[in-house]
Amino acid sequence: MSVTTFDRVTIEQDHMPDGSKPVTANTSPTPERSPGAAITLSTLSKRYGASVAVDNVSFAVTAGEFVSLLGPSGSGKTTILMMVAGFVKADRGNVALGQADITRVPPYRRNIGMVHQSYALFPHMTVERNVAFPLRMRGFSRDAIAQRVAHALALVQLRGYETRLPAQLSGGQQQRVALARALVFAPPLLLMDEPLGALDKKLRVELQSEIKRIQREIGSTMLYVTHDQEEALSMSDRIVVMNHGRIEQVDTPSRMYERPNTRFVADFLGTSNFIVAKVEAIGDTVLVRTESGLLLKAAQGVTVRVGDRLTLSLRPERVRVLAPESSHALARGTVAEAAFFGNTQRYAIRLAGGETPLAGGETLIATRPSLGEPMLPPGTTVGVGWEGADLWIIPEPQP
Amino acid sequence: MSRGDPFAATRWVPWVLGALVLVFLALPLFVVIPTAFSASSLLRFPPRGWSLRWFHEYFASDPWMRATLVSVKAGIAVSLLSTLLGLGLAITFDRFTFRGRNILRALVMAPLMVPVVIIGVGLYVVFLRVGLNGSFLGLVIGHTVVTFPYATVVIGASLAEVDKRLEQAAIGLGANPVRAFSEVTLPLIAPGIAISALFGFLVSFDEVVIAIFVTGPQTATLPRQIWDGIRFDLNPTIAAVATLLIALSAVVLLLGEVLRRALRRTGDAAA
Repeated sequence: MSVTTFDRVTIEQDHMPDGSKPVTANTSPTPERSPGAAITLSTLSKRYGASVAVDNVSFAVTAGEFVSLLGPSGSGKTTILMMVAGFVKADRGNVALGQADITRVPPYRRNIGMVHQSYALFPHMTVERNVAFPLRMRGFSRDAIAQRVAHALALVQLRGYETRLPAQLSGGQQQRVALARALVFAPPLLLMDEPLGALDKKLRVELQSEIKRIQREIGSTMLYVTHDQEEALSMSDRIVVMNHGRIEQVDTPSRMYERPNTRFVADFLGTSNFIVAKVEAIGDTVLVRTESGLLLKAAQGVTVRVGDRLTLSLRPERVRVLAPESSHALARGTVAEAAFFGNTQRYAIRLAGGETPLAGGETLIATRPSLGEPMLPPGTTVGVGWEGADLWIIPEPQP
Repeated sequence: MSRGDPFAATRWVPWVLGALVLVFLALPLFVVIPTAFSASSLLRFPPRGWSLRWFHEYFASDPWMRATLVSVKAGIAVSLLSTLLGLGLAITFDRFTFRGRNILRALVMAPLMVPVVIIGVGLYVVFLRVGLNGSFLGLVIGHTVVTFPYATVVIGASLAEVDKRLEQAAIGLGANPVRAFSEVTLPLIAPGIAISALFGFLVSFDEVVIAIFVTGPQTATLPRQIWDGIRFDLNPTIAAVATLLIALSAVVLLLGEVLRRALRRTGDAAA
């Protein structure tokens, strides 16, 4: 492999956790255990004809970290993965694995494990031969292959399926074979392209924790593409949210959810109520005035100036549904829609005229956990309230 | 007449028509096969008395044995050559886009549209200049001209069936492009390759028009020998040879069916 020295470009440094290896539960040495390698993407760009698929993308993943690329379809996340794998040539920018610039290394010499959306299992090979494939290509001895294949199949809990053909397996089992095949050669980096997209919800949740467990056990770095926000939130150490080929935000799941940088992130990750307001005063808290004249407290955390026009995000679970006469109510309205989700109740509340602080519409979404209270029927008059800290100022400049 | 089924009275029509067609198609077999076992030296039906002497005649005859050997050797050579050509062309059309790709594709398919007798005349004229008339090589080339378009189509069709992502996955797992093709794609199109090889052999083994134009006494094929036999030396040996050929065809067809099923199975697995 051609190893060129690479001037490390430090981007997103403030978001990077410390570079130390993650602590793993299972520290016993196994054949698959690979010291994960850091991966750095610098100013990657790719256009197809007139449309820009990936636009000047830079971020770094530390060794052993689990990072998800999240975004709607067409946001460029799969193109980025393909550039890391080497199947798509970047127009500009480079990819470094550890200290080595691999931008011009052909895909078969990159030593990166990949699980495809379609699994791409070889239909004419048994489970055992599928998993042995990357080892055979690397010239491992028969004994070493047998040992590693057995171990990889044990890791994905598929012992006893060695002689089956892929067509004889269920979707979930095929997914496990694809996973075993991708990690059997202990790659320093694993790529996954919507690996659970074809599975039903229950199986998906099961395999999510399975993939997490395996990744922790083998200690390799993970770059995971998904359009499923719950998947990204529950599995990742950090998430990269993409939109139109650009990075919207790189952050830990909880920070991303609680402190979205852009309106897109606030909307794509979960649901948000948006309020447009002007900064009125800055003291211990920020005071903003909505277009309807309501004075609200907002969370600190972003630098603003008096007179700035802002969008604020209010998560539905932060909205408290109160009695209309409650002194904590900031606004009043009537329940327009009520939906029961089992563990939560979700209300669309139409705020009384003149009082709405909302941007684009008068309906506030509120959710509350189902703790045994009966559902409020549509037409019920309610008050709504929230704490100043629940109102997050989106730092994105107002257009 | 039942009121429930207005067509009940005419239900027998397709059955009778079907039976007639089958009898028409199979009738030659009922004449040729018994004739082969005739004791008489005249080609007559029904035969008077039975014997195996015409089979013996065939196996003992130098010209018949030479013709059989030429046909088998030519069949194998044509099969290999047309499959190799077909594989190369199918891969080219499947993987590469280049100027004149469609023109080349049309050119490859052209022999299927030209009457065989015209191809025979053309080959004869060309071979006259390069001195290939009457040679084994000329025969192989002549037959390959009509078999390789089929090979290209058959292998191309199985290549189109294979998911391109499989080869990409193999490359991602450390196989260089050549290895990825030979380890993944080649086994998956193997049934198509086998069918094209079988087909090449059968067409060459059966072909008479081109053989009449380009073969000489030393390179006469079995069909040509039969043709000459009918014209110059009519006896039941021809029926015996025909019977053997029918048996061979039946075996090959059976083999083809087995392969077709194997192809469908791997097709399902790839889906």
